[in-house]
Amino acid sequence: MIETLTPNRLVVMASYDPDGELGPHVRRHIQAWQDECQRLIVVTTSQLKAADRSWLNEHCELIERENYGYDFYSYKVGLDAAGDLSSYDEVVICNDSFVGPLRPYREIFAEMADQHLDFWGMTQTLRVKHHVQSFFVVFRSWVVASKAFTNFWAEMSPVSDRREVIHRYEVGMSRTLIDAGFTVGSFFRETPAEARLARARVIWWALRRRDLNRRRLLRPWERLQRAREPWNPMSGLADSALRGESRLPLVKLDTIRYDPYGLNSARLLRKCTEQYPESFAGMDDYLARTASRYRPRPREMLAKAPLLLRPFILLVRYR
Amino acid sequence: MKIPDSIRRGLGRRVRRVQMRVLRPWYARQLTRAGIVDIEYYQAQTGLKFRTARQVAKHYLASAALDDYSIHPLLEPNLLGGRRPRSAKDPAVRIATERIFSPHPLFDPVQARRALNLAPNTRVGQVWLKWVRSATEDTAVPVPPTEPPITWGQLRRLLIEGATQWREARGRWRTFGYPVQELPAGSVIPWSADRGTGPLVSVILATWNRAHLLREAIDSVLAQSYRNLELIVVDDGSSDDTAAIVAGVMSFDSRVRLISLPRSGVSAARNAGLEAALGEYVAFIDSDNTWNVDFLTDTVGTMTARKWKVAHAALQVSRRGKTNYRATDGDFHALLMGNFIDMNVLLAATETARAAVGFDVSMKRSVDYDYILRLAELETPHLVPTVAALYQEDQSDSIRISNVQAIGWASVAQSKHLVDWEVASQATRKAGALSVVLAVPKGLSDCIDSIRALDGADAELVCVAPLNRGHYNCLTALARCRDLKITQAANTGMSLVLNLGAIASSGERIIFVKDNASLTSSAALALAATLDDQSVAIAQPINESATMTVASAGAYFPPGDVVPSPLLAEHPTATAQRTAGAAVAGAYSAVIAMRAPDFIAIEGFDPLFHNTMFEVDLSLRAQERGLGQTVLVDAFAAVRTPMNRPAYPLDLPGSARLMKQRWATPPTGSAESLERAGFAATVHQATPLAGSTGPLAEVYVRTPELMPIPEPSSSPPCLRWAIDVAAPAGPKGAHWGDRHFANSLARSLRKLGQQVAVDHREARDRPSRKYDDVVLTLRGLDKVTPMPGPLNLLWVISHPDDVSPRELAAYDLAFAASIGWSAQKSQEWGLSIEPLLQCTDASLFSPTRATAAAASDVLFVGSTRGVSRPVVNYAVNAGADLAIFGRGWEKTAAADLVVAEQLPNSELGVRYASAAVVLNDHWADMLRNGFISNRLFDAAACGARVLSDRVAGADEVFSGLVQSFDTPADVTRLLSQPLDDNWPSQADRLAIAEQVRLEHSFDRRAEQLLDAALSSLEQRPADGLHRKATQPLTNW
Repeated sequence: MIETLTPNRLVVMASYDPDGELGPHVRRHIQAWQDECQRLIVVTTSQLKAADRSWLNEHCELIERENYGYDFYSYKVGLDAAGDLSSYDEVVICNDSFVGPLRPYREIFAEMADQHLDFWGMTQTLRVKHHVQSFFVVFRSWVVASKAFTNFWAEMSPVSDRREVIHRYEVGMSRTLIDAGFTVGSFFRETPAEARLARARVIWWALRRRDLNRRRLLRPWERLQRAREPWNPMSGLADSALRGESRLPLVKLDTIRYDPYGLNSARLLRKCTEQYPESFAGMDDYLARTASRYRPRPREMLAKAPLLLRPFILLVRYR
Repeated sequence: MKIPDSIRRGLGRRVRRVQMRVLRPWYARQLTRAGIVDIEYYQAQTGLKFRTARQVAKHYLASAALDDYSIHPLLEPNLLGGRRPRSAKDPAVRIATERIFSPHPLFDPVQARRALNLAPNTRVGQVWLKWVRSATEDTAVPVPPTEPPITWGQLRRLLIEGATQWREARGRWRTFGYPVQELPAGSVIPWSADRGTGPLVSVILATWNRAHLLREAIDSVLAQSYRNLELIVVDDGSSDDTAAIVAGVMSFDSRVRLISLPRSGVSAARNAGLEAALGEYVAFIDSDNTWNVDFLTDTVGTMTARKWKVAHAALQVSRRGKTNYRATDGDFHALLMGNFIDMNVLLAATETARAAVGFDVSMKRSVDYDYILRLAELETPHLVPTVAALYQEDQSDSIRISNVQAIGWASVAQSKHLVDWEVASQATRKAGALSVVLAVPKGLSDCIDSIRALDGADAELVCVAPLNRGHYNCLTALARCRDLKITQAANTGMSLVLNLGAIASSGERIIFVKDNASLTSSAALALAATLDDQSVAIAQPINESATMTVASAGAYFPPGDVVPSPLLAEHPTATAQRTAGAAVAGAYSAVIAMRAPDFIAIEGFDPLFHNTMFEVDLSLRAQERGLGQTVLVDAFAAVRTPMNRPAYPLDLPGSARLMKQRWATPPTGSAESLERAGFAATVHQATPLAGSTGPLAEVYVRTPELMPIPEPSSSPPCLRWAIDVAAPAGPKGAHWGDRHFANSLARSLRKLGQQVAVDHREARDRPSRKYDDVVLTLRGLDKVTPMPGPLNLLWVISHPDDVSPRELAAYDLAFAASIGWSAQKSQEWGLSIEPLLQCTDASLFSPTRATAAAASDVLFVGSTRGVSRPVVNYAVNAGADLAIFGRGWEKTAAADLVVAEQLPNSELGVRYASAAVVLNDHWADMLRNGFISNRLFDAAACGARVLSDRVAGADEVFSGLVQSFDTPADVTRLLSQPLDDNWPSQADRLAIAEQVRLEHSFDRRAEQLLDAALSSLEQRPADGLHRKATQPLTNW
């Protein structure tokens, strides 16, 4: 009875843990998929501990592989292992870099079901070029059957540079499909108020960025340019998870770890834990355990805001 | 700071527009006051009613920017001078200030001046105004002497009738091509929901590899406010994700269907869609277009309410930020002039759409136009004035049919409806009659000149083109006394235009003249006569370009290549004349002649070739069908623009591709033609044809590198000469003495077995100069720097003060037409300058040419620029009975003595021989340096008594025939005393004339020059290309 209600969906999840353990959010995420897909393939690049391996084997198909090529290569391995993709109505790729879903997948998919989209993600951004963010993307059957999709995965080779993976595969995947004529959308769509807030946060970020031109004189000009850049909703609007019925139904761990825009991510974590105690249970411990493996990236570290402008943090911080 | 041209021009336009708007009331008043507004004539053109001249003036000034109207039957503003015919000046101002040009072919200012007794220097514009204001019904129109007389009343009636005819013909196609700024008025009846769901509309979208654009097009269809539709996407064998994208759409909307075909072209795809359509109406959309939301609601609603079978809506076009509409309402006949219905905005009842027999799969382009023509023939299309789609003209897709396939397909579509060769073959034709089919040039004066040039050929003229009002008016006037037919043709390719002319003609032989060429009557007759030989299918003249070199002497095909190039292009015409009279490989010409039945039998020019190379294809087909060969006739056609740049749009690469598709091997005869001209091809140089842009590979034309073939030994040896003169080519140079001098010298050199070309100023740099053995520069106004290679000769015949030793030293040999100057300068500069006096043409200048009719007392031939010449003043003061031939005397005291402004060179001898005394003078520098004018030689050769200013050497050369004067008193004395007191007797004069004709003729000079050239060449070291090495130069 339950079997017939399970959507004909394939999920390929990429997973990595530096200690070979399964984070609490990963377990909850895998459990969230249980009745939402026909088949769940987890591709992990961790050196799994026995207990975690057996837990995974119980809950999904597990593929273990060497740690290279980031999540995209795990997706490829998973998709290749899945065999004939054309038998599914939908194919989902996602990874374990976020806490969520903060609301059931069933609701999320139901909301997207009547959207005339060929593929969609949880969020989309205009950074680099318009694309859906690759931690969660859903492809409909005709896209999976298309030449553009097949060729994209067939031609993929492992890349172990984070920026290159983003450019070639994360942005590249969206561009390939959009250029082939497919339409794209996202579950999370900013309201005008959110867009204004995100802009203010980008400006705040631009004030504090350090990855600027070496020549001092040119910096104000460059800050001005940076202030006009598009935002990453997972950083700039992470607190949308707290609004409505989780408008943004997941929180990226990177946002909490690195606070890329300098918006007080500790506060975000505190608020999330308050609002979603179940989803965030054990996350403090997990973050503490992995902290040493996720050191701040030098390029992304922020400077202090100019003294006079510091009070403005009250306007832009996560709320 | 330099302002870019485009901005400056744009600014100028804007300023003129504002100026026009501000000054319009003032201009209107001025125009009315000028009293030249012909209300009835204006009404005939516009079809509107006006009560006062003021109303006409206002309407004219307001509409002048778009419409080519005229306010008076004898006023064609386009014929007036000035670079910008559409300037803000109103026609009254323009005509009032006109100095030179007549505003109508039937208005001859000279005759008018005479009729009104006006001073000879009255401006043409003033003459015209005076005549027009004074003319009554019975006044004779001052027509040129070549035209029969007519009264003003008769001519006016004729031209008003012509204007009416033009308006009626134009009614069919007037708005064609113009984007309008506002949607035309008319009611739209949108489909309202209370009328039910409405008839089903099938939307057919044929697509091929446009997946990236597809969703937008499909979404615009599915988003239509009219809901009862089906979308049939026909995938014409795409290799991209078209099918996947349509599958995606289908999973959300059940109104969409997909038909997948193997690649078979847009026509087959649309036909498949048409076949599968279930709706009552069909519409078509291309994958790169989108519809406005209400397109179907508006169009279906209006069509059902009005019971229309075929309708189309408007297109909104935005280009450079400006918005216009393409919204033309017109029937089948209007469509034949050009397509104004876009396939994307068309809606047709399915039964009608199917009855039009689908899209023609054999056509590679203009499929839409072809289909719409057939549809319109069944049911008249109606315009629903609603915007169906928006076009961004700035963005364009690089791989479109439009730059892959030949543009001639549109002509093919038109031709299907306009030309019926079956019917044409049954029409009776006048035996022996000649028809000339003229594709009317865009320039109005060119058009008039082309027609007048053919007077005397006794041919029927068929003028065919999309004619504007000015052309129509002038042609109507000229048709009065000529066998002239006017045929309004579609806005199409030259090939179809000429085909239409052929069908309208009635002669047995037809000469086709493209719009960039003109032909004299004698050339036309020569071409027609060539067709008497049944082995000749096509006769073509030597095409002469504006530089008076060869534009084409037939088609040249490189070995194994069917892309032709014009034979002997940029060679001197004399070279082409050597190959004339014999067959060429094919025709490549702006003018060809063919027997009408033959032309019709092979179905004329192929419209697919559009504007270029169709005559080449025709000649090849004629040969293939055994109708005969193509012959180059020793006659000239003047080609105004360069051979391949007529006013029509061009597709040279497209035509070349067609040649390659159609012909496997080139016809023979190219090498033979070259050989007759004295050349052999060595290697071929490939150059891409102009316009080979687009996605297809470039098409190359291979032109031959030539090598002169050694001439057979003769005595004297035959050399290739070029005579370089400063006179400009074309009619501009007709009055230049240099041209006549060079032509006479060339004739004499040819008598000695030489090959001679006369190069005008513009032809000086012709590439074929490298084949010449001797270049003789006649030093006139231009300083010419000789190119090393040939033997360079300089003959200073005028402007000696301009010659520098540096210039002179660059030449192998230098001559000067002054004994004194050459001796002096030789010594001064240490260079050798031989004296070689000017001379006369013994065949034109002889005492025997005297006639009583041409007799005059004292004769002066020469022009001036506003000031009288001293010798004329002296003669006038001496009370002589003076006759002057020349221009520019209007403002001088001698104005009344002018007999004619022009005296042809051939007539000059008659006048000299008949005059009692001939006056002569010299330019100051010529006189000072002892350069005896050639007029002295001419007059002396006629045995005339000559009175001249004193030039050194004249007494010795002319033995008393020329009497010199130093003071005005001398002139008075010489003219008042009995002539025989001062000049030799009649018998002596004849003897002296004979001596001059012998010693100072062009023949003699030619011998001297040839002698000098040969002995100089003999001393030269051998040169690979030039003939000196290959042939012994014997003293002869």
